[in-house]
Amino acid sequence: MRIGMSNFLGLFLMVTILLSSCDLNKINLDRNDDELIPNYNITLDEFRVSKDMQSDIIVIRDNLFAMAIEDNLGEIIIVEIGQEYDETWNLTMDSIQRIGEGRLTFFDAYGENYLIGFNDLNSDFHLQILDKSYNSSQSLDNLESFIDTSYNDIDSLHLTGFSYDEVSMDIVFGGVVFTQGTSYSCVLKTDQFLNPLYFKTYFAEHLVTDILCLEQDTYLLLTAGPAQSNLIRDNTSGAAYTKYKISEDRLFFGLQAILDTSIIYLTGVSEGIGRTMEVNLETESAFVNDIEIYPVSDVRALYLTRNNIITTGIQVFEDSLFHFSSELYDNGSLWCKRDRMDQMHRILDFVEMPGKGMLTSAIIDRNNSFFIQLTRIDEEGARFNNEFTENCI
Amino acid sequence: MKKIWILSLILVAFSCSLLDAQDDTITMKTDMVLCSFDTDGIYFTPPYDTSEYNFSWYDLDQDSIFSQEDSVFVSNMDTLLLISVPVDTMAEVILDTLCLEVRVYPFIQLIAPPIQCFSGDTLSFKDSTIIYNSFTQVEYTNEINEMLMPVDSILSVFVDNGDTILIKVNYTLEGCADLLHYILLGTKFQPIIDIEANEVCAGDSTTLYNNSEFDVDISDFSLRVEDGIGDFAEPQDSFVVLLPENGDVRDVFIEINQDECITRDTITIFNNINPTAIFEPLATCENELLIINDSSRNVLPVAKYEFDIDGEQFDFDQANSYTIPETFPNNTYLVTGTVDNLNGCTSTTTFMVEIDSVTYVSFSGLDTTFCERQTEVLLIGNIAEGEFVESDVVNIGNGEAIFRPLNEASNFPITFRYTNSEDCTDSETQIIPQIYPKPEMELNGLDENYCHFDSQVVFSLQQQLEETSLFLIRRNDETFDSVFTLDYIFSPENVGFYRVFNFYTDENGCFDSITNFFTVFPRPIISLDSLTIIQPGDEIRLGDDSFFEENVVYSWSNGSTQPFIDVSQPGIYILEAENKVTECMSIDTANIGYDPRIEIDLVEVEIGPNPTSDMVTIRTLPLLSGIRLINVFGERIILKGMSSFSTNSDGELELDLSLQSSGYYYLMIPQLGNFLLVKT
Repeated sequence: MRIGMSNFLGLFLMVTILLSSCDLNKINLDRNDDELIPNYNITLDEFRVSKDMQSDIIVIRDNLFAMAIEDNLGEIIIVEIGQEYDETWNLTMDSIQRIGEGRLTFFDAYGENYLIGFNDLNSDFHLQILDKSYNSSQSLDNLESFIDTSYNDIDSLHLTGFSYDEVSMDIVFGGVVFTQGTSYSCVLKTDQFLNPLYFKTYFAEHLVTDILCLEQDTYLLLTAGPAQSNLIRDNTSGAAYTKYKISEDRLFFGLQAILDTSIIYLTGVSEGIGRTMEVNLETESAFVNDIEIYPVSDVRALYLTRNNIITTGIQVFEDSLFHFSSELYDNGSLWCKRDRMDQMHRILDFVEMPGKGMLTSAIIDRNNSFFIQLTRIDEEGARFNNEFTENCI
Repeated sequence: MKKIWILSLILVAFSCSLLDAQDDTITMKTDMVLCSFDTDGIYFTPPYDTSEYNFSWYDLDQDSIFSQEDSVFVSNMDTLLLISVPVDTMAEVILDTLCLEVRVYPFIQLIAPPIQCFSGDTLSFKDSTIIYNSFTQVEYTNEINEMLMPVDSILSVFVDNGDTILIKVNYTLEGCADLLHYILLGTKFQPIIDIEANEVCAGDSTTLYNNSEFDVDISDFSLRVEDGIGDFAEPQDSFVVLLPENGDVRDVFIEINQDECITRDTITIFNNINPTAIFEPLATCENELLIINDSSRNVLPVAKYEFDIDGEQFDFDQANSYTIPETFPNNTYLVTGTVDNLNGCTSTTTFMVEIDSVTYVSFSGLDTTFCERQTEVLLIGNIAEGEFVESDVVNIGNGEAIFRPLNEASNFPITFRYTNSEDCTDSETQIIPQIYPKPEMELNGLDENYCHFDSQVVFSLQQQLEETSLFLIRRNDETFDSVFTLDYIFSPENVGFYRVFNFYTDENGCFDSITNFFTVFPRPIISLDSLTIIQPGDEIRLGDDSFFEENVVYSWSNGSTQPFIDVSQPGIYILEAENKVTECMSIDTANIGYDPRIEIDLVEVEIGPNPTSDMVTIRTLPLLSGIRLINVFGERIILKGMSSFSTNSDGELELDLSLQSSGYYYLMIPQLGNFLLVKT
């Protein structure tokens, strides 16, 4: 007998597809007490940003990151953020490249390059490949005319992310397309030079929140609609099409990592409960691991180099906001910590800096003005102060 | 003067010392003005008897005698000491201190102008008298002692024609006697011409009345009318002359010489234009107004005319002809016509006028309401030889006519007319108050072409009466509908060729009709399934690939222009087909979607309610054992003595948390996951 998850999962906000080969039951954190790295958060006051902007934070080297920023006037800029470890943690921020004007929907690295996507002021979608110096080496600016002829007359297109197939060297983008008054979750595939290969649509009033290439010509989509969220596996011909129901509710996802073609991790929120879901595509089953922090409004997950999952997010508790981090193991949270940050608005990205902790990029709200805030936490979290776990609730 | 007296006292003291031999001395002090006509001075003689006194004269500033004469010459102001020693030694010595001042009379130079003919100007003379000091005053007065004031020593006085005036000039020198002089100013009489002529009409003599002022006895007189019309050398009270032309104008020259004072004048005399009345009456019927042409001569533009006909007067301003504003019965009349130039000159004449008889007419047949191009009536006149004259009337003889108005009109006249043997015409005109127009038949809202299943349209006849407005509609030559209405609602639900006939009668009984045509064309035939569910990878064909409609252009939302397309992706596909000849278009939509029901559940568990205050129900796989509940510190929770739970055969498990502390728990279900339970 198969039982639906509707009552249990409720609103499940999933933000992470992570990987499989990690064994949560085997997590044993190393004690690195001699490498005390203090936790800091710093707001980059130099830029007022759009509250809806999207960008990954890319670790270039130990003390240098890159981000794309959509400022409050719609200017899209590539910035580099340098960090210094001393008695304190210092950040410097430099504008490197102006990309254009519009709405930034993603910025991430692939291979040796970067990919950035944005809608301009006319809502036309643009893709650009940036080289190491952030100079545009390829661009795709006439997407809509391609889609109009290959598929249908569309009103606009918003691509929210991509995945790079390292075997075929093709790029698969996911997002939502508006056509004939209806929106559809969609996939666009291009070659490595951004030459369009094909365009596919899926379900009305859905959008692709994340996408992940599994193997050559096969990809995995997280889609969210008004009633439910789905995990879809598909390929060019459609022969690989499989739709997995993961919730009856509208969910929001973000793919972040995968280590195996058969096991992935999804992270999200359902009715205030932060949750990871370990999905085995071979057995078509899932294992759920909830975060002990409750209630939460936003969650991101990261698969650590030590084969464990750490989550970070925003807890809404008695009219206060907390930024929390929690490392999961077989019995829930291995540890957690939280700091009150009433200005927290949304988590942008969460990356690991091996040996130097984790870095969270988020958007904070200061009287309706929005800024990027970076938070650095010790990769061993609260263990320095709390042997096993802090009851963050 | 105070200084002078001090010096005198000193001299007196000095003199006394010289006259110690005299017994008595009389001391006198005298101030005196000496008036002189000589500008050099005047001799002063003391008032003592020169035989009884010896005089010694001293200057005040000299202690020696400068004269022992009986008198001394004084030229200006001077102070002298006079010691008068009597011959009789017993008499008293008189010691006089004399302060003397010489004042010179003016040197009078007054010249009166000569007496000349009166010119109307003032007479002037200049006072050139030389005045030597500031003590002299001059005053001018006329005969009635009115003060006259000179300007720059010139005195101007008006002396009337032939009059004289005596001017008194009085020079006053303070301390001296006045000098009085007289000047006589006068003019000779200049004759005054005053000739006045009376105003007469041409043909009458003009009288010149002589009101001139002059002395007839000593004067020469002359009056002459130009061109020899009159010449008079003796003065008379009046002169009579006759100007020869009508409206003549002549100059009259007059000259009077009295004692070499000559006056000349020229006046103009004239006579008024005298008109000559000449009138010519036109032939007139008794139903016409009499017209009198004017041929009068010498008529001024301001002239007034008056005609007296049968005891009635008719007045007119000057014109070429005059229309008498009354008609007169058939008869012969004596007319008196007068022209009045309003300059006192008039002319009157009489002439005969004959008024001819008239044959009177009438007609009938207009007692109805008229509509243009609709109503037709028979008009009947009372004289068989008469005729109707309007353009919309057709005379048919015997004094009868057919009238059929062709246009709408207000106050339309119909006239019947007859002219008798005396060439007198009578006519009767009857007015038709209104010839109504036909109703304007315009059908609004009608297009030439419609497409099948277009929206409803309303054909509106722009009129007022619904009950008299007939819509008769035929489709493909068969009756389609017939209804009385002003607004016909038409739904293009039937393809075909339509004919719309409208017949309308307005409130005046005027009617008209119109016919319009239109076509309802069929739309291109297309048909798409509204919703099609496909499997990923499927490709289906939308549209009909076996039927190509002539003149139809297809346009798909993906850009294809074929009647069909093959699609494999979800989406809404729109097909537009337009017949380029009829411009009728069809649109259809196909919604292609994946079947959302083809899916796999990843997690087979249901937990609720969560949060809970007591009971929580777990629904999952049946007979699933090893289910545990731990708190956030990893401690197992024991419920009813059990720390491990199993689902029943229906896959259900109920846990009672009512005795547990509020907080957060992990529900650990083997192979399914660790679920957070919130106990409130």
